[in-house]
Amino acid sequence: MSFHRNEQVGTVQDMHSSRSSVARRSTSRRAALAGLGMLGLFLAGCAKDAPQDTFQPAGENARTIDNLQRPVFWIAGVIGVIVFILMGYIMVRYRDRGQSLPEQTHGKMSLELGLTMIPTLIMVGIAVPTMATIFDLAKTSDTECVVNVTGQQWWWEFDYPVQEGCVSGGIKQPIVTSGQMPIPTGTKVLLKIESRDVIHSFWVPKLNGKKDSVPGRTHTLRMEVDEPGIFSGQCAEFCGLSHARMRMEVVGLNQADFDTWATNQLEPYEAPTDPLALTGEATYAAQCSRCHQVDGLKKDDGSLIVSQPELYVVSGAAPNLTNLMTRNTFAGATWDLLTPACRDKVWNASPEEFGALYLKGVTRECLNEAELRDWIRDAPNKKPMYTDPTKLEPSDGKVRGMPALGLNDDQITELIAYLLERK
Amino acid sequence: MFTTGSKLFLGASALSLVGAVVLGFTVGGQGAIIALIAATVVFAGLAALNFFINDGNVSSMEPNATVRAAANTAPAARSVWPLLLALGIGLLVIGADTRPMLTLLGLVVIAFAGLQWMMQSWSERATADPAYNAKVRSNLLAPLEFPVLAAAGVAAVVYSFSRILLWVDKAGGLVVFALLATLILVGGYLIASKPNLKRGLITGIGAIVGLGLISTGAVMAIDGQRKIEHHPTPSAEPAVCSEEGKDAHVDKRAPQDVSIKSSLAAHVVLKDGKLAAYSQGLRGARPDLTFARGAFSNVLFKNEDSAARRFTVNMGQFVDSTSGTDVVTKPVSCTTLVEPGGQYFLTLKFEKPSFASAAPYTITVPGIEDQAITVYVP
Repeated sequence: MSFHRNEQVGTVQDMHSSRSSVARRSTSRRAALAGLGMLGLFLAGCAKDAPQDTFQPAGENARTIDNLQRPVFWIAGVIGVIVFILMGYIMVRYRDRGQSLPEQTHGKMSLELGLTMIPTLIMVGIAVPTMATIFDLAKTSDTECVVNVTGQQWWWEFDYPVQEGCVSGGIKQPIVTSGQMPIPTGTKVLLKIESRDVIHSFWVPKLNGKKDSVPGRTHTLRMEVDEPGIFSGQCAEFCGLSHARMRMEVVGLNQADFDTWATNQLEPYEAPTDPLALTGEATYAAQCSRCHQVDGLKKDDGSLIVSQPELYVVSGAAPNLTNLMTRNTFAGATWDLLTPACRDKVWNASPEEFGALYLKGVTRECLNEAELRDWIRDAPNKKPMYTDPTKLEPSDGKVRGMPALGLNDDQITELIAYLLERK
Repeated sequence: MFTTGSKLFLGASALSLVGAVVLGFTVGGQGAIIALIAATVVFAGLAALNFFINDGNVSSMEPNATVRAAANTAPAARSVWPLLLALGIGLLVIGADTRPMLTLLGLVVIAFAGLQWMMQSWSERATADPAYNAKVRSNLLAPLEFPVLAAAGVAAVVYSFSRILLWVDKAGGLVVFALLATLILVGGYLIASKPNLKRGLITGIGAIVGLGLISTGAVMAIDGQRKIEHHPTPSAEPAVCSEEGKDAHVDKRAPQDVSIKSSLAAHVVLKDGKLAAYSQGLRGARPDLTFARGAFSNVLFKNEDSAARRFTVNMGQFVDSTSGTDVVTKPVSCTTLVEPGGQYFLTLKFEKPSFASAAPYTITVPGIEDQAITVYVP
């Protein structure tokens, strides 16, 4: 009987032991998986020459932020590591093993003072340079060039007001462009940011921090580029269906190249000479000019064609296409107007060569026709937008984004021929 | 099985459901359907309640039937609810002919008093134990009464205080507000520093202060608020904008919103008969301003002239020939007259680019000749 009981007890103990062993293995597996996941996340942060890397500043303002964030990162990182190690040690060392409750004491003045004073000193140490940086970044009195930046679903417009700065000799007529914002290198540029519909946020990580663009408000942001090149940005405030495809690029050009770019933007309209482009002009006038402006384009009676996006689009605006092919991108800087090979050549050019390559614009050989063709054929299919007429009741029939125009392949070919001359 | 009362409510519930379905398939209209479905749920709940309490009847088979029977309980206590219900009906009737707000208030009072009356009647006869009945009533209605009465109390105090502030003049309002805030602070401190004060004393003081506030508010509401001048808002009427403002009122209370002040696209100053524009980032006074098309931009006008002046924005000239004849429009927007030394904001939105206009976009001040700021809209 006794033997029998012991045997039973032994069996139960074996079962418990087996179960706890399985539970331990399962816990270890889960911990290993979680560790792998964390490692993956950690490694995902490693990238060489990432286009939107705040740790690679390319201008004075971004460098000012970088000079603050690096020491703060290290201070916070070291404190974080110490706290986690201490927590881990305490959790393991003093875990519940059935021991008696330790002696309970009420407060310890030296410890409490220390735990108050040390964080206070650390916070003060961080706050002083942080405040100095904030004031430094908010300065507008020393800027030399102004650009109005306007956000809307889902692209950015840049217009250069009439002013003495930016261009040698000043800007005599406003310039308007979208997607890419050329600015002169080594020049302190003031962006005046607005929105036409919902809240967006302008963020070019290599050049400065974020700044919200809010309807009815004008926010300012400094921007400066050290060397010629293209710097990617991204709308940083969720703004609807295609928020992820609302990008922008700042293009740094040396002063001479920027002057050339600005002069070219204000060149009078030249009617196409190529017969295909001439037919495309008619298609453009009939279809696209309702929303998109091409400055100087005239009707048959000689009067100017003025787009009326306020009648068709919720934001009341559509990109100005007067000099479309002087840009490298289209549709909210989401797709390249250049083929991958030509794009690489421009993006990876040395600062000395960059200006000349960029100013060449888009040539027939370098045109990324497949993407542009897809876009013109059925824009909402390529970039999700609210353009379904059956769902437009709340917006009074106005679209958000570009609708499919139902153009056939011949019309698209003619239109592309016309647009190719817009530079 | 089902009691008489529960059958009645079940029937009503089924009828409401059928009504909702029929209405949904024939007429439509979300509001009515929602109301009928709500009625279905409420009637079903009442049916369940009646079923659960056996219509308040006691079985004759119950050994202590004569002791526990509802009929054996004390007579109904005094109740304020019929009075309140009558008040609600009165408000409903008066509101129907005067103010819709009174009708709404009447409906709320009727619903509240009706519910209270119903629940009190039921709870008084729930069992033969009056103490238990009171507890049942409290459990059911306290979660409703406390928030409603608290909200009503707060509303009465806030409304009364607002009437007081509207009765006294602007400077008096500041004094009253400061006095009351000080009183609350000092009172709170005294009560907190004397933990042994009797609860009754604190309640009494609170009641006296509350009643004083409400009665003062009522008196001042009856007497009427101080004279408040009505100030015209910015106008888009060309006749108003172009004249020198003889027909308009001098607005002494131009918006001073901090949010607008911190978000200016430009400001325009009239001084010594000269107009000058200033835009952040652009140095010195400018003869021109550039605004984005289709976006709202805030402009601040500062009148440093010796006379009241109006700030006017002429948004070009357009000809619409779509109807067969030329229709000329000259959009214009302006502020009200701004007193000397005053300032006023104007929020602008240009729908069309300036090059599309037959006349330039300009900022002018009627009465000040040869001064205009050119406006560009790309």
